[in-house]
Amino acid sequence: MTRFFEPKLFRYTALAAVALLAALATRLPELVVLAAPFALVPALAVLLSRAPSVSVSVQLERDRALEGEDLDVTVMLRIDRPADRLDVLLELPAGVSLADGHDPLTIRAARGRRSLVFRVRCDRWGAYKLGRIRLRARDPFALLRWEQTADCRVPLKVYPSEEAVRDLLRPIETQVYSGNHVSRQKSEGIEFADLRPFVPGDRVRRVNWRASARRGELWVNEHHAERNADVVLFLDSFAEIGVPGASTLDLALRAAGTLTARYLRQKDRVGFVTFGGTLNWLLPATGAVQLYRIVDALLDTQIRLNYVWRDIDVLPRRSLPPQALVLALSPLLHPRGADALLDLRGRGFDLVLVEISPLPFAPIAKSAAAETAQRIWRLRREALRGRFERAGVPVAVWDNERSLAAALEEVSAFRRHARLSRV
Amino acid sequence: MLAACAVAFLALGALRSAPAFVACGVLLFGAEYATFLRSRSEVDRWAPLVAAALFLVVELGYRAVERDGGQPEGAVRRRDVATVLAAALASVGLGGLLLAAAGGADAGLGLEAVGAVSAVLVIGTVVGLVARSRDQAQLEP
Repeated sequence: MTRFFEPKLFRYTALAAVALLAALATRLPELVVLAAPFALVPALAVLLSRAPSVSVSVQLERDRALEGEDLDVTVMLRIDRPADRLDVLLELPAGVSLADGHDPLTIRAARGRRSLVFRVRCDRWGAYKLGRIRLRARDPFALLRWEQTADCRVPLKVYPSEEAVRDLLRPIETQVYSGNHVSRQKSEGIEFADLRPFVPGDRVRRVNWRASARRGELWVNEHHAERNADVVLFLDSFAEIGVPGASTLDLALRAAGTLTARYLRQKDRVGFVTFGGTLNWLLPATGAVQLYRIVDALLDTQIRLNYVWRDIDVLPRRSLPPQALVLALSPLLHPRGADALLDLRGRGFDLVLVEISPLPFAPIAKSAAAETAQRIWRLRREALRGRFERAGVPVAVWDNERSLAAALEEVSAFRRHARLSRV
Repeated sequence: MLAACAVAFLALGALRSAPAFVACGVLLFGAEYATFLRSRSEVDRWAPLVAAALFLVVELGYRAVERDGGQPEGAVRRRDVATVLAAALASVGLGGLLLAAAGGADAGLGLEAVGAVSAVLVIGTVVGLVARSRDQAQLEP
């Protein structure tokens, strides 16, 4: 620990010096008596105080948490040389705050082991490192201080909270593996599809006896197969509007996390593409491991400025499998993001666009010129939306004020009533 | 007048959380006490108690305006109270001893020389501490 002198030490010594000089000048012994405590206490503090010796370790209650959850951070101290007052400060990164109690805490550090518990709240999703501890010890009169910083950081992953979604978007085409989607193809399944005349090789259990009795020959039931689907979440990370914790990127990540978990729960293969200053992708896969892979990739997502001009050609072919449902989450703020999506549509992908509306995050126009500019911006956004709709891409606008389920239902309605157009 | 200024300084220190004002207030109290002592011909036997009271005022004033500390736990508070009271009591005892020594010894050139050397030593200590503090301040990030 490094020793420092507090200003109080100088003031005490200065008071003592002034009183002693005054005593000499005025020949008053009482002033020496006044000076005595102010001279003696600093002298004893400097001569007798010894630097404390403290070693620190940090333990988290768990290394993963959901946005808004609380967790305990335990700071364990091993005190070899005691201190009368020891301030223990747990440095918290932006996005994590103290939920309960005090930080810093002042304790009496007696020799031995001591554990302090800080209850923190995960305010915002992200990957954090928690556990930088600042220690400050003082002598009983706070005339000297010793400081030490212990870097015992441990990783903490805070996942975005999930939105409530009941029905997911159904892909137009399904894949060959069994899943929860009723396929257009007729095969073994549960959902009734049609009747057809019996052909040799058909199972007897599939014979529809009522229809056969009416028509005088054997008819069998046909069923739709239950298949899984490939879903690719396409995140436009070129630009965002808002402040950390309440921005278009936060909303997009929350939606992506929710949709990933829900699609994987119904046995679909889910892939992930972040298209922005950096281009990242995860090949579609299924299972809990894929969920963690995607969520970890989400946590690394940031808006990064990059002048390298890349388009979706650089994506590996397997990251965008044919017949996959591409669910794009974009604030439509950057033309490159919009162009990439239209490019995907042009290649025949089943594309759905959930537009994360930046309007609630836009600053309020305070002048007539700003108001006009904002109106032009809105018109341009509407024109862009129109381009997508003309290309046969359903667009749902989602913001903080409405649920994601409502936006998805809007897309479902569009897809029910619009024919899939091929550009 | 000096006492009124001292009270004003102490109040200002408490309101603005400025420890320097507390020290100035106590200095003014000391000046007022010195003025009072000049009007007397005999040694004030209550001087140790006045010293203890001034020390208590400074110590409590500092602790009241201290801003950069954390939330102390109960044991720390109890120990603080005990430490301050013990220091005040010790200052009463030390003051009594000093007064007795001053009353018993004949005032002369030798005693004055010892006093002057003590004062110079204390001032030297202050200067030394300030110099070392500047060195440390350069080391601090």
